[in-house]
Amino acid sequence: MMATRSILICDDEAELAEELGEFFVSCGWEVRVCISAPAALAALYNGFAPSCLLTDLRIADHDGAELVAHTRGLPKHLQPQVVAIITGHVVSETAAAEFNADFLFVKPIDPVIVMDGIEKLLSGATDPASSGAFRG
Amino acid sequence: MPAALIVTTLGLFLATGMLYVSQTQHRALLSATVRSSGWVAYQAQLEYVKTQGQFEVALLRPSRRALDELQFRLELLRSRLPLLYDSDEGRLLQEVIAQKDAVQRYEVVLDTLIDSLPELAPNSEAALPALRKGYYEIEPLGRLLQRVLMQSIAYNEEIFRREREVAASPAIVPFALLFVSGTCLVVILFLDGRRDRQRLAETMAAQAAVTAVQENLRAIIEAMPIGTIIVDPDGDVVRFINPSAAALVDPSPDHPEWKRLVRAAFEAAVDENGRRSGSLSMAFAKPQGDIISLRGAVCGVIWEGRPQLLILLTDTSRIRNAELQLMQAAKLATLGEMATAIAHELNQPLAVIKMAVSNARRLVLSEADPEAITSKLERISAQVDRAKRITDQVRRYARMPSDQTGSFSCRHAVELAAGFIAEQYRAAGIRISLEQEVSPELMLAGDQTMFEQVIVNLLVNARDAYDTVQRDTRQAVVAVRTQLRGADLLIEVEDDAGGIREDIIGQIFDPFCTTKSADKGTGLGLSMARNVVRDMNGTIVASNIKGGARFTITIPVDRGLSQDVA
Repeated sequence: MMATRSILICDDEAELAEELGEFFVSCGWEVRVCISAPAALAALYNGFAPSCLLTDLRIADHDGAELVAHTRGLPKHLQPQVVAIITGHVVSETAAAEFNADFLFVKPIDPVIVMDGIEKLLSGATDPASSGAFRG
Repeated sequence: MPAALIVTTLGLFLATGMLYVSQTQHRALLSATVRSSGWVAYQAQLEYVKTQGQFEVALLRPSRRALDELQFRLELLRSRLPLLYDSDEGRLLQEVIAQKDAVQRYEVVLDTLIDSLPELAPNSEAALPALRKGYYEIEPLGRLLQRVLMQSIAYNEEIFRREREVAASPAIVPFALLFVSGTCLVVILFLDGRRDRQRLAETMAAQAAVTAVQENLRAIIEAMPIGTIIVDPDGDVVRFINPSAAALVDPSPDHPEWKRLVRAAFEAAVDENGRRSGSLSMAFAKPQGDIISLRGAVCGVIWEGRPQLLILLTDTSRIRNAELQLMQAAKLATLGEMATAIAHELNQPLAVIKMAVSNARRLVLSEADPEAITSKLERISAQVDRAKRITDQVRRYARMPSDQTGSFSCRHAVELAAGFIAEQYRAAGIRISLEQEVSPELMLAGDQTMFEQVIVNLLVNARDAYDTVQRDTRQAVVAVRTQLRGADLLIEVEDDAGGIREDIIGQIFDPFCTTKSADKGTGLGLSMARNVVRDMNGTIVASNIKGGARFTITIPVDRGLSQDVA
């Protein structure tokens, strides 16, 4: 049986974060939703080590890229295996690698696609280096 | 000049008369006085002769009676002597006055003789020598009196001679003065007549010139491409229209539609003191239904001798349409610059919808609680509404501006403008501080969407300004303030993004003046903002404050509401 996946969702668009979290929960994931970058960082520093961090790029007063950078600086055992960005900005040709993330999902996107991508990476089926922008 | 001549002439006439009277009187007085003075000398001479005769009588037959008679004669002679020099007549003759001392010496001699006679005994031995002595003592007085008499006679003769001459010759001086006066009078009349003729000629020439100017002026007014209307303020009756004005309404000044145009023009041109004077800008619906833009002025004139009101109007519809097209181009350019941000803003509700649809499908497939499915559908519906609001804003923003003005709430318009750009500010990490002191009831006249566009433009500029500066840890804040200051509404948009370069701040409202890169700015935004504010009778100025820029819009509130489509 596959180990329980966990995900930390960070998006100041509360309803979006809620729907995304609900979807992952329905798929058996352990989910924690934060609507601010400081709250997400606090969760990580407090020992919540999710399989995946999924964050918006622009979060109110903070830049999602900064959250990603902080996450990459965490001790190895606290770092998520997959770091993904979800954004509503036009980033057609932008590679996820520019943000030091494994995925860059562009809103609006089907949560199935999001989860499939993350799942594949977690199971080692996808080469993160080749990942780019995902569209729904 | 004529006045001076008149005064001179009158003076000469007066002087002539006075001189004539004075000369006549003086001559009469002099003549009488000198004649009198001769008479005094004659009397004194006569008394002297009588006294000497009495002396001789007394020497021949000395007696008391003879001595008394001699004393009487001496006293008479004594009384005559002072009259020679101490009377009005005596004072006129200098030769007589010159003998005063000599005469007075004889007065003393006479006094002594008069005093000695009563004590003199007629038959004494001393009587005859004393009388003889007295006789010889006063003998020189006789010669003295003779000289005085002769001088008086000489004067009299001279006076008589002059009087005869004067009587024989006319009074030349008065006649000369009269001649000069008369000449002056003639000169005055001549000059006055010539001046009147000149004035008459000048007046006629001026009248001819005025007539020519009036005819030229009327021809110019008739040919002018500017609508010219003369209105009698008593009842606002149209008295004159030129062909350009006739094209606006009707060639007949009696057409009822003229009243509507005149009333609209007066309302548009009324100044803050309620006077119907000044420039105007208004829209007017022609009788045929076309709405045209008019610009012009109202002022007072004297027309055909009466105070009238002159209305000058130019149909600026084509220019105005071009302006509106330019404004629209500027708006669309701004909209283009905002496209990325709008797309992001739209993506948010779409993303929620996408997620909610996915979850709803799962719930439907799993035959979950209908309430949970309904909740999802409601969320989807709400997000659709959210997306609609965004598209509505874009549609409102992209609408072609019109020249028809209405009234709108300033506070509400500022809120809409700030709301339109709020998501972009949020995404850029900039806070909008709305500090509205005016009430929602404060209404402005104009095109609301254009006014919102002005605020949006200023906010977009402020947002873009932060891209060019190094941001510190402080929260970037753009303040939007509305407040009333006296009769003016002030709207300020203020940032702390470093301010405007001093070398371009003077041209910041000129078309195509921009500090942004070509892909971010057209340079039309602030130019358009100035036009919009100007159409609302307001002003917009830019200034640098500490660490940032401030744009201040000032709109007179009382006039802002005074213009509607006629």
